[in-house]
Amino acid sequence: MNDQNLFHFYDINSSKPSCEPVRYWEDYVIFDRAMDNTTESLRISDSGATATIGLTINQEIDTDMAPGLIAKVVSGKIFQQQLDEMRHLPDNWNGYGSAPPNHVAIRNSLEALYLTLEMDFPPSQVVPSAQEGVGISFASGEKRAIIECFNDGDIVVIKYEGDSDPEVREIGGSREEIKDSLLFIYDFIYGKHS
Amino acid sequence: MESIPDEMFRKGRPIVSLFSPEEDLYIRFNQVDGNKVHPMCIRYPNQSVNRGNYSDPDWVLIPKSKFWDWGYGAFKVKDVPKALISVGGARNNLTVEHDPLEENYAHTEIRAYKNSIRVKNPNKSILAKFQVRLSQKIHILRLPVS
Repeated sequence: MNDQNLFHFYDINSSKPSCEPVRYWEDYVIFDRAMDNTTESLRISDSGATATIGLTINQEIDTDMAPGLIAKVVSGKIFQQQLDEMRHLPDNWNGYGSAPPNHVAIRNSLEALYLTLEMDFPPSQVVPSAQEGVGISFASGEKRAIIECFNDGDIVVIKYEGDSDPEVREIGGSREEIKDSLLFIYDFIYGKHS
Repeated sequence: MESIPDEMFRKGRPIVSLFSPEEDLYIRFNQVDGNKVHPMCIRYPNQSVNRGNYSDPDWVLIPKSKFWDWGYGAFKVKDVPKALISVGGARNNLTVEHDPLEENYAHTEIRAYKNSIRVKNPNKSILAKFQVRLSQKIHILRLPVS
């Protein structure tokens, strides 16, 4: 990757890099301490210039020093928050009789979501499923993939493109199987991983 | 108390088993993925819908005190797959069945049968296929309020 026009983020307290350099729209800055209503600071730099910016979760970064860069801040903690909100949905939250995600679906979803952080492969959405569980979805162009974690512990991986027939795999709940599935999804969404 | 349109009530009207393949079915949802309904908004089996012959599209948002910010969409009876096969080869046959409620004459369910017995605990690969296949067919009439 050419280093030109890459933007580097540093934790202002430790001066350590907080994530891989980012360049593109929809790049994500993974910053573990950031929470919804708490502003933390990061130092952003590119070829010589630096600036300090305050960040909150889901804030888009669009500074004068980084024209063309619009990244988004995500954090493992936001996943926990989202899942916690889902767990507290009322019974029949959708009017179609669905129960909210339970602790089994939440546990498996968190496992998958932390793996996405390790792999630098953030999902596009995390939503409650009408089928009683959690759906973690990934998207690129017309390509879609979903890991659906059910309340009974079952997990399926779904991939499809546009209006094509979906390909579905049933997997177990071990970390290895979830990681293999994420690699399978990554390969589908972005091409072969390195 | 929220008022329900008078035309929604059953008022002794019969079950109408016959569906045209072109009849609209209406569904509500609260998530989209791109320009489609998110597959996670769909249940299998027994997804409730309102049939177009006996309802306005937005009646799926009643009670509006609960669903005012949801979206709704339409698909055709012919869009419901006739059958779905699991990864292991099990087959579910799907039907669209008018199931009127006293306060919602148009209420209809998409039901599944395996060897002529109604499916209660669906195979996960079949239900996932159904979620995607139906989401691909739904024409969004109103997006959820973000």
